Amino acid sequence: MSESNGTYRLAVDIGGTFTDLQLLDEDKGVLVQEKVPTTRGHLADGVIDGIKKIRERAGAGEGKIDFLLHGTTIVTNALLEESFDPAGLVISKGYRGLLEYGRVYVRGPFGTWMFYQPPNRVIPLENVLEAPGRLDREGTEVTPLDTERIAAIAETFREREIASVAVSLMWSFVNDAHERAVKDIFAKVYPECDVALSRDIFPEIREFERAFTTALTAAVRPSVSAYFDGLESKLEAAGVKTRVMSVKSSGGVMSSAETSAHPVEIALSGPAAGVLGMSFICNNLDYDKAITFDMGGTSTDISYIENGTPSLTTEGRIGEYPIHVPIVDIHTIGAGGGSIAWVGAGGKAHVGPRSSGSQPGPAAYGRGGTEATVTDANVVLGRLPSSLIEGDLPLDLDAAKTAVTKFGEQIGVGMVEAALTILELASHNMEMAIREVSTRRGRDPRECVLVGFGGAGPGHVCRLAELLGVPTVLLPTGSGVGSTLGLLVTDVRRDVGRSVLIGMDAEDREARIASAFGGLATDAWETLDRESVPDDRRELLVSGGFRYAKQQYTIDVPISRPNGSWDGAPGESDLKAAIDAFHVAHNELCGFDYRDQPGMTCELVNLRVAAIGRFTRPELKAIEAGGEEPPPEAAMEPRSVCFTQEEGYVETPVYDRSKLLAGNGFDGPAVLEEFGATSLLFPGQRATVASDGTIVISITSNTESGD
Amino acid sequence: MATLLEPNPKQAAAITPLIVEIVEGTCESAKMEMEAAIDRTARSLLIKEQHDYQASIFTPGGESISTISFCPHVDPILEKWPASEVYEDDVFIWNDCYLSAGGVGHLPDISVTRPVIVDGTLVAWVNAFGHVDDIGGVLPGGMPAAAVEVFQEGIQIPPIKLVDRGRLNEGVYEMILRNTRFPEAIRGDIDGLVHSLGIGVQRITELCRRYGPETVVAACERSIERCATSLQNDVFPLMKDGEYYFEDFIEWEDVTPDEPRSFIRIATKMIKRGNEVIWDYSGTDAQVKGSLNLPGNDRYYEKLMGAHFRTLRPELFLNEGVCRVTQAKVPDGTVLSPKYPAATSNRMWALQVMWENALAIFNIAGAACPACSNTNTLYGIYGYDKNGEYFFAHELPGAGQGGRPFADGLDVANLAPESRNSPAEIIESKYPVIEETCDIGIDGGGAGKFRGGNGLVKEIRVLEDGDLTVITGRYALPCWGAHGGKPGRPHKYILNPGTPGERVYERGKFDKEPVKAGDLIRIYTAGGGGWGDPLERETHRVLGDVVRGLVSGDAALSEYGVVLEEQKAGGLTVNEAETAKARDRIRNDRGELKLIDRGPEFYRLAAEGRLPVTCEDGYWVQPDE
Repeated sequence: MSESNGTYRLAVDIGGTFTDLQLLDEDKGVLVQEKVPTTRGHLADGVIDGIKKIRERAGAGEGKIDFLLHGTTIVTNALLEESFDPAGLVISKGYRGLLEYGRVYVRGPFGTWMFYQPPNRVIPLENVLEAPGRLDREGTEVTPLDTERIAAIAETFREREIASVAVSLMWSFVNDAHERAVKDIFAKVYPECDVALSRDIFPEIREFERAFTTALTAAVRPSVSAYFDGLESKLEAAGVKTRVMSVKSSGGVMSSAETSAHPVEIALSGPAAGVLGMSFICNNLDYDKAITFDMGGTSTDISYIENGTPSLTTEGRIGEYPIHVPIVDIHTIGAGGGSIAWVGAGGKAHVGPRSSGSQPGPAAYGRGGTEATVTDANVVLGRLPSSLIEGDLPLDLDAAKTAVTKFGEQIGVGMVEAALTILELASHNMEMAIREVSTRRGRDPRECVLVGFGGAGPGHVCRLAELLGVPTVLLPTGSGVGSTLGLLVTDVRRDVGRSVLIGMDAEDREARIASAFGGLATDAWETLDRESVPDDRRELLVSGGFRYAKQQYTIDVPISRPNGSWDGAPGESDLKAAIDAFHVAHNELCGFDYRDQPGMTCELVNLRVAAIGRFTRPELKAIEAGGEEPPPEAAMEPRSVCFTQEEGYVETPVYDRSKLLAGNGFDGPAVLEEFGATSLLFPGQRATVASDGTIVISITSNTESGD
Repeated sequence: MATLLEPNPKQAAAITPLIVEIVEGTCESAKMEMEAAIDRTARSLLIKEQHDYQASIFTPGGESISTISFCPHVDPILEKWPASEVYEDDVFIWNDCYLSAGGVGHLPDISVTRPVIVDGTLVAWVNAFGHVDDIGGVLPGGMPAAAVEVFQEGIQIPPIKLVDRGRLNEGVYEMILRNTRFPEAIRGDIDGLVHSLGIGVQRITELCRRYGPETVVAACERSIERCATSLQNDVFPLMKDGEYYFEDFIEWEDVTPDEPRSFIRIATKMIKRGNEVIWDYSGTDAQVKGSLNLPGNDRYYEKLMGAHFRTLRPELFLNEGVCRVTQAKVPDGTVLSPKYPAATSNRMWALQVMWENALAIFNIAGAACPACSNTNTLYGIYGYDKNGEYFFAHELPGAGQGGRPFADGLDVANLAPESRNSPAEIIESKYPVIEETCDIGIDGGGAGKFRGGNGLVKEIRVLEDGDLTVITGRYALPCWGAHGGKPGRPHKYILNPGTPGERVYERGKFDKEPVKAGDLIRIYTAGGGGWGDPLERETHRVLGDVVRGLVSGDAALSEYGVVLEEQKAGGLTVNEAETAKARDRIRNDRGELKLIDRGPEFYRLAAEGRLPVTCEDGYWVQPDE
């Protein structure tokens, strides 16, 4: 963090096949990249190999690597595979079944329950034990904690060889005395056991959400701790002195120690880093609102960037599990290049969510796939080159034609119309998904730029932009999109929060908020102490979740506070401004507000404090500048591409993207080839190359807006 | 003013498959966007937690385009206003059950409607309704069981314009809000509903700008037609041709003392032949002097039953098309066709029995289908808190679902789409109660190869004097088991259990029973029916249920014939040899397994003549030869 001589920050992204590394020279702001094979089973070996290579490439010698930043999928995989460490839960008496019934919620439309199978529990019911003792909403003791029973519970867990236990008791976020007492008893009776208290993990109202988050913590902590211990000891043995930091699902990084304490916060670590990198690129080009569109083989991830930072949600899901801590708001749609076109009940045409996967893959891959996919439709229409991955994967045009023709017969249209139908239907599905999420979050896609990446993103994003009425599309360079960039452009961050439930008509509101803030700010500041963040790099940001009385959902708005001391609580004028911001936000999100209406009071439900330690940002290197026209060497063999039924196949220029220079411009229709992706410009669209190599495309919408 | 655009069959034939998908998909997406907006701002508990709301999109002629589930209509608007008197920025509001052709079944469902007018042409209607917390009447919540006329249930709003050509009629708001106990919350709910309409209007308008209104309306017609053919091709063949009859009863003992009726029959006959299904409700009891009546019309019932076909094929897209291949027949003056001004606020029990009857009929007609599932029990505790403020703590807490042909029923779930319970901490933060217990009840689900889900056990300590209201079905008659499965346990409410003052409430529907500060109310919600022969349940599943405290050791032996024993090293194991013997014994002693097992209480009441069954076991099957 401090700017010493010859120091480096290293970002590592361990993927399924490759481990990507990116090294930032803190002094020069220079970035160096490296790619090595992932060593499955011994992940650290690949990392150490990569470090050796990237040091050589950067001429870094034995220069000190201050921080090793990385994203890990360890918690994500546990959630997706529904497989957890053995753990126990101590819950208030009377609530043994809480993790089973949850919120009595079955996702999906009417009738879904007939077919719904709940996921594996993070802690099975036989390992949930009840603690007699109860507090009320004021935190006053109704029934004392049965300490003998707690000691017996500790013994039971020892007998069952469960060494990670969550404790979640009613109203613990108001008064944590009972939870702390449980921890003390465990420390005496079963000191080897790791105990996670809900008051530390997620001190918010709603007993299921708090208990679930705490239970998940206990059920992944042993693996997460072991992973970091292993990585750090291997690095040390290899002579690499560094501090390992992990990127959080909400953006920001924290040390391995903090990560092990709060492992739920890295549940979406990898994808979050990717979105952070995107927001950095958008920021550099001065776009403050963006929708990112990452289309791969089986699915598409959508996320939002607002004011230059990824927008977050506390209503996230990973696999079948709810995630209540803030995570980057990524919405996944079952539509990708491998999505299969099929005809269902009543002759209804569908594209996805079923996917051909990588085996057998689309018909055009020639691996035995016979069902038409999005990729096959692209091949038939000439939108993809004759082979992928620099010739390693030749595409079988005839197989694609056969598959698409067969689908066409089922819906009664010819091959070309069938191919266009597949692509338009896929675009339509994505358009609908983006609109639904936009509305849910109160955003208008027309005010955003659309950022296309992933294997299939650049080929579909320009048509999607037309449908959404988005005026501008960005296609970042391949090297920019890796999540390693995201790791280098974030800060040390820890979010703490607590449910406070303070009516804004309460006379003592200022004092109550000050008291809650005091506790949170101390927690946050101490985190920054532990992370050794210098004072001049520290910042505490306050926000509050407000709602009108009786509403269910809250809207988070920032709360300002007086300049000067780090622990100065928000005052009356800060609160007034926050309430004002809430009215505005409610109006933007919901279409109306109740400013100055008698009886329509609002309340502060959750108070949050973000502790931030600022890192220096790298400079993105500019690419070589050129003239208005692309240089002749960028032109490749033109090919025949079909964009619409009416126009049919038209001769279309093809450019080698790596040879384009900053300032170049050209009109659609056009095709851009690069390693791993093909971009498609539709007729009427115009592209220019930005200084960092990003392609900026202006879209003339062919859909009129409604108003 | 608008001109009406009617579907043009010629235009419909010229539509490409792509356009049908895009129009259908956009309408469905618009519906979901509208619902997201309602959810986002809601204040009434039944909207925000129980998801008792819906957005819908209709053709200019009032046919449902978007998927149906709670099935509102816009017919009353069409009847009252010719297209020439409908304007672009009009918003209609209504909750009148007798002027809504079944679209609004009880007064708490506030419904708002807007036309979609593009260049002077009426191309669609958008509608949204939500169940608000209070709309006046004799009981908070607007669902008094003992009401004998609709006037006692709250304010009736006939279809009127809330917004006329863009001008808000504040007087309408003032009138409504003056008639509810929670004016701020209801205002917030209605504002949210009205705002959601704007989203629907915008999306359909954009669709028309892209493809032209004629194309959009023609594509809607194709979507409706396709729904009809998909039922004929993909659903009807799952059931054998023939006639199937199933009757069940709404428990109504002593609710209305001046009309002493105990069990109200809902008689369902499904006649399935080839490409058509007829739902015949002849034999259903006359309307009651109480709030059970369901004021629907034939088309409403076609949609209501039609939505249930999704049980058989979950991917079905169901809209008005169901009305083209199914036909409902309801005689006049029954509980399903009451005459004004009969009370209707508790019509959900009639709805529930209609659904369950359809499920039973699918089972006896040969389709793979779950056993009886019931989630609806509703209670409320009301009174004045320490500060003299009125409180009304109420919820639908969830119950066990029926066993399924492939899996156990869900323990403690709610079959209303996307609905959630109310967290104890939220309840305690608002109302003077402490929820001492909120857990899964043991042995509640009916035994079966796939057992019924267990219900909830809940204990509420009341901290202020007040009153308790309970409205529930399946209090005497349990959820039936199917294909050899046993029935579940019914709902049960007990005051101060295990004390000298213990009182088991005798019936499941009452408006007012006093509770004192310090009283404890214990609630067992019902278990779902079991599916299949319990003796065929894999022994390790029975063991797992016992270890997890979901089935008792006694029940493992008596219901499943599974003999468990303690291992020396601790823990339970199955004694397979003794289990085989126990299962043989049970098999020899028991009678023939029932296709539908309605439980001893049902058969006892029937034998005593207290349950007016018209046929043995309350159902019959007559397949065509």
